[in-house]
This record gives sequence, structure tokens and C-alpha cells, in this order.
Amino acid sequence: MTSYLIRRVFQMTFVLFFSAIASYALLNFAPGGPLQFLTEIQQSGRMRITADDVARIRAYFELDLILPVRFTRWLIGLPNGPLALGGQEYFGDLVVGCRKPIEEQVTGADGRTATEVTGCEEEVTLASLKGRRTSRGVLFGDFGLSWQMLRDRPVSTLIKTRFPRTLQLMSAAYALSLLVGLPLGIYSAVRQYSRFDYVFTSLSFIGQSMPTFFFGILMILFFGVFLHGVGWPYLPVGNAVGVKDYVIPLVGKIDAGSLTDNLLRMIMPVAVLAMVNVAGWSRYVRASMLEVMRQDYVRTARAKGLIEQVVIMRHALRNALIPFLTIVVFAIPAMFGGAIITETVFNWPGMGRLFIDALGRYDYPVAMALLFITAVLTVFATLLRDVLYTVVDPRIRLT
Amino acid sequence: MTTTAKVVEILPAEAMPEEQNQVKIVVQRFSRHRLALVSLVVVVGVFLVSVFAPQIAPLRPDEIEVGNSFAAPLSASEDTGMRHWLGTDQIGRDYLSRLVYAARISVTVAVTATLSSTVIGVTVGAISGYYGGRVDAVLSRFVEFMLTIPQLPLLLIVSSILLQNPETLPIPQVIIRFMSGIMLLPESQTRQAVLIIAVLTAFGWLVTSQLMRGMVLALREQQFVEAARALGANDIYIIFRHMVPNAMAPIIVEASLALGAYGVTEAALSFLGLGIQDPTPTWGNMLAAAQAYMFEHPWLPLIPGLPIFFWALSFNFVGDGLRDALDPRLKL
Repeated sequence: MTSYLIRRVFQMTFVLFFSAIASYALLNFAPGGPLQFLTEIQQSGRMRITADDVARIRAYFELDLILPVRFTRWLIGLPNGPLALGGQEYFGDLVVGCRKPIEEQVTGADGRTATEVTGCEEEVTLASLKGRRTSRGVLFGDFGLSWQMLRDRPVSTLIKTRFPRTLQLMSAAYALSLLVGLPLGIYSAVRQYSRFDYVFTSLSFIGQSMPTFFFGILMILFFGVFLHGVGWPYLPVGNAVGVKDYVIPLVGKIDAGSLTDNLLRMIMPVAVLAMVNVAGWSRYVRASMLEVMRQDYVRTARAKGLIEQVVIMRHALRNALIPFLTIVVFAIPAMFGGAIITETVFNWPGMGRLFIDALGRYDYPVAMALLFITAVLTVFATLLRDVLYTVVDPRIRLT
Repeated sequence: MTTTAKVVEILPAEAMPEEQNQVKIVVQRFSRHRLALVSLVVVVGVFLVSVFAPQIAPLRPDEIEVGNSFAAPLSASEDTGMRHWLGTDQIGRDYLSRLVYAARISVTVAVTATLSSTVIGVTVGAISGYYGGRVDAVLSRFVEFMLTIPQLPLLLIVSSILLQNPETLPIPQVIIRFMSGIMLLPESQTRQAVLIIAVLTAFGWLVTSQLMRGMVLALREQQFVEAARALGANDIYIIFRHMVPNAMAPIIVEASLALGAYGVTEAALSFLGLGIQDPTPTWGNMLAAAQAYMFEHPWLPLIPGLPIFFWALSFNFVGDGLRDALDPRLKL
């Protein structure tokens, strides 16, 4: 078990390292970046931006450093100065970038002019990195600076303000899916081929096919627009808290920003997030239960004269839940994907909407940070699943 | 001598009275799944609508009637007297025309993405499973790695980068011209749709290749493959004449489910504003536009939303039906 865990952790680091490289490459090979808007401003001539300004901004976004140095600074926050060993500093004048490149307009063979970097006016050495703002490194939870959304502020600040909202949504949806999905699956397996089973199977099939964004809109149309229109108790739509007090028939006045307001606004997004899980999970539990109920040990339990409830809950269900574990654990990172759509539909200020807003404004550091977090979650979910398997099923040994 | 003549005279029908065409069996088994059959009709209907879009649509999808935005369904225009069966959108474009042309674009995107990702997935999976060894190790590790990264966020990032810099991915002009002919779009708008197809394909082949690899691994040990090799067949012949046809059943099921899934994914991308953009009509971006006005005009999101839902539902049922029909071990 210990050697297995050590190997797994090693593998995980490898996977994470690779996804870090992949996301960094994607980020850097994408043309544009924070300087694109700068050149646009320069060309429009409304504001005067000197070469020094450009150099300063380039240094701010670390664009003056060569790619490998930029990458290690992004990943682990090093190098942040010359190599210090025993009070002595080494490699102080190693050139790691260029603060002011000399650019020349070159006319290519096809007659188009292109800007080419032909030399360097002012070089950046390792020694000059000292005193610069250095990120602690993505591996240690520092995702650098946002390009657009919160200019110059750390991405982690942005995520920290959004994270509680997503957590609130997800934990509620997760609990609801388990509370509804499990009993539904068990009941319809026990009553196989009954009318309930038939209706349930069709409904869960439809639920799985329903695109979340359309389901969300249908909910808003019914609970937010229709019920409001006919004067029945309705649900408020959009955002996590309101800005204006409102009155719901039969319920009374709701203060904007109160807990009730927040909870009321949570109902619909949670229902949408849970719907997908309930449909999928209950179908899975049903199939798994049906398989286990055919096993010999269930027949033995019945033959012993145990009452049906005990047979189902203690003998069948516990074994049926083992394969279900995979799905439940992997739902944690998967829900983030669901949250992207759901939060956008309901305008919920969580990480999913942050992701879409960041992409819409080409703020790639924010988007990459969120992608990286989901990748980390997935990797940990894999480990968690394997370890949990050994806990619930003693037949499984990790070697 | 007379005995051999008698053998020849026996009719094939008498020799094998139970012989049935393979396709016929599958069709028979499929049609027993009532919902799958209904779904197939829906799917064929959508295909027909998209093929005959120019004949069905009363107007061009980008024709704007100034001053007649948000017209209710079935209302007639005051200026021209023309009836807008599904009303008009926020800038006065005929909603029915947009819906019908959107069907053509969404169907093209889904079908092309499915075809290309299935071809890539089958080829990569077959090579990886058949040759094994280092090739397999590299390919399957790569596929596994790609599948650990959550697909939707990745898809969104890549498509956002490509939409901002459409020239990053060089697409041959021939393909753009061909697709613009199919989708009836100007070439400038076609590029975007082709990019979305490329993004969908880039992440779509992974699952197919895993499926195919598994099938090939099982088939490789079968005796008929050994026999083919003993008869001197080369690798390519064995892969394409023996492996691929034998692995076809699950691949077909997978492809039919993928058709539905790609339709929804494209709609989701366009809905989130990172797919095909506005002047080009798709169900996803019509829904996104309608969402902003749904409090005053609740029918607007319903009209493009329902086709997305039925598209997804139908292909799930069709896939379900095909899975039952193509599995010879399953007694129906």
C-alpha cells in the first residue's frame, strides 16, 4: 500500500507537471496577450505611449524574459535572483532576457512588411531579477497576474472571491443528487418492470439527454417568468443575492442580500446541477443493484430467512455501491464543467462564470488557473477512488 | 455422376431455409425498439429540413426587416404583409428562416465532426492496439492524459484562442470553399464553423480510439486473424479487412451517440459565446441571444431550444436501439 501510494504520488506529479507545461504552452503560443491592446492603443494615437512604457509593461508581464526562464518562474517561482550559495552569488550577469528589443520593419518576399527583432538594446540579467515581483509558482497555488479582468491583481484573489459561491452551489447539488439519486435507483431496481420503474427509466433517459443550458432556461421561464406573471409564489432569478427588496406572494417581503434571498436564488441552479447527476447516478445504481441481486450470496441471505429490507440494504446495496464510487468521486471535478454552463445561465458569480468571463475577455491566466485547478481535482479524484476502493472492498489490494 | 447432378439441383433456399440478410436482421431488431424508431423519424426529419433549408425558409436568414423586431409567432408584417410563422428576433430577422438554416449548420457541424473523429479514432486505435509495444504505450498514455483534463473547459479555452486568432490554424481554401457550399454561408463565416469542427474533432477522437484499441486487442488473438496471417495477408489488409469490420458494431453505436453529443456540445459552445458567432445562425447562439430577452418574450428561447433537446434525445434513443440491434448475443 505504501509503495503503491508513493508510486501514485510520483505519477500524479508527472501528470500535473505535464498539464502545467501543456497549459503554459497553450497560453504562450496564443497570439495576442496583454500587449495586443497596447499596440492597438499605440496605433489609434489617442494616447501617447513611449518605448519606456512598453518596456515597463513588458517587464510587468514578464514578457521580457526568455521562455524557459519565464516558465520556471511561472511554475515554481524561480529564479528570482542570482544563485546564492554560502553567501556568494553566482551567475549574476547571465542574460535571461531583453528589456528593449530592437525591432525593424522587414519587407518579405511577398511584399508584406513584418516586424522582426534584430537585436537588444538593454539586456536583463539574472541579477536584475532581484527585487522584481515574483510569483510563488503555480505548483504552490500562485497563478500570477490577471491580464484584463482585475488588471495587475493576482489571479488567486479573483478566484478566492468566487470560490465560496461555487462551493455553496456544488455541495448543495452534490448532497441533493445523492439524497434523490440513490433511493430512486434502489427503489426502481427492487421493483424492476413495475410501472414506477418504467416511468423512472424513461424520465432518467430524458434527464440525461436534456442539455443543461436549455433545462436552466426552461426552469427560469416557468419558476421565474410564468409563476411571477400569474401572481403565484415564484423564484428570483440571477446572481447570488439581489440588489432590491422584493415581495413573493404568500411568502412575504424578502430583503435583498439576506440569507433567504441567497437560498431562494440557489434553488434553481442547484436543481439543474443535480438533475444531470440524479439521472445518471440513479440509472447506474439501478443497473448495479440488478446485477448484485442476481448473485448467490443474496439468495443465501434470503434463504437464511432475513427480511427483504435487510437483504437489500445490508447485503445487496453495499456491494452494488462499490462500482458507483468511481462515478461519485469523479463527479467532483466533472461538476466544475457543469458549473460553467449552469452558472452562466443563472448568472451565478462563481468560478464557472469567472471562467467564461475570462475567456470572453481573453484573460488567459485566469482561465488557465481554473483549468489547472480542475486538472488537479481530477488527479486527486483518481487517487481518492483507488484508496476508497480498498476501504470498501477488502478483495481489492493495491500493489 | 447422377448423384452430383442432384446435389447441384438443390435450391439455395432449400439448403439453408433460415438464411437471412444481416442488414435485414439488424433492421428488424432495431424496429422492435419503438422509441428508437420514432427517434429515427425525428432525426431523418431534421436532416430533410437541413437539406431543403433554402426551399423551406421563406427568407434569407440574415434578412433584416427594420422596425419589426420581436414580432410574435404567426403575426404578419405590417409593411410586406408576409406572415412570420415563428415571429422575428431582436433585430427583425425571420425566426423560422434562421431556425431552418441553423439546422443545416448544426447538422453539418455534428456530422462532419463525427465522421472525422471516428475515422481518426478508428485508425489510431487500430494501429495502437494492433502493433502494441512502444507505439501503443505512447499513444495510449497520450489519450489517457488528454482524457484526465476536463473536456469542456479545455474545449472552451482552445476554441476561444482559435476564435481570437482564426489564422493560427491553417485550413486549406478548398475545404473552406467546399464547406461554405454545403452550409450555404459566405466564406468568411465558414472559417469559424470549420474551426469549431476542428476543435470538436481534436478532442472527440480520444474515446473512439480507446474503444477501437480494446476491440483490436481482443480480435488480435482470434483464430481468423491468425489464419489470415498464415495465408500471407499483410498488416494493413488484416487491419482494414478483418479488424475494422469486426469492430464496427460498437463503433457505429458510439458514432450515433457522438452525433447527438456533438450537436449539444456545439450548441453549448455557441451558447457560451465561444462557438459559432451571431450572423451565422445556429441553435446555440439563437438560444444565447434569446436568453437576454426571455423575460419579455418567453417564446424566443423555446423555439431554438427544443430542436437541441430533441436532437440529443433522438440520438440517445437511436444509439440505444442500435446497441440492442447490433448485439447478436442479446435476445429481444
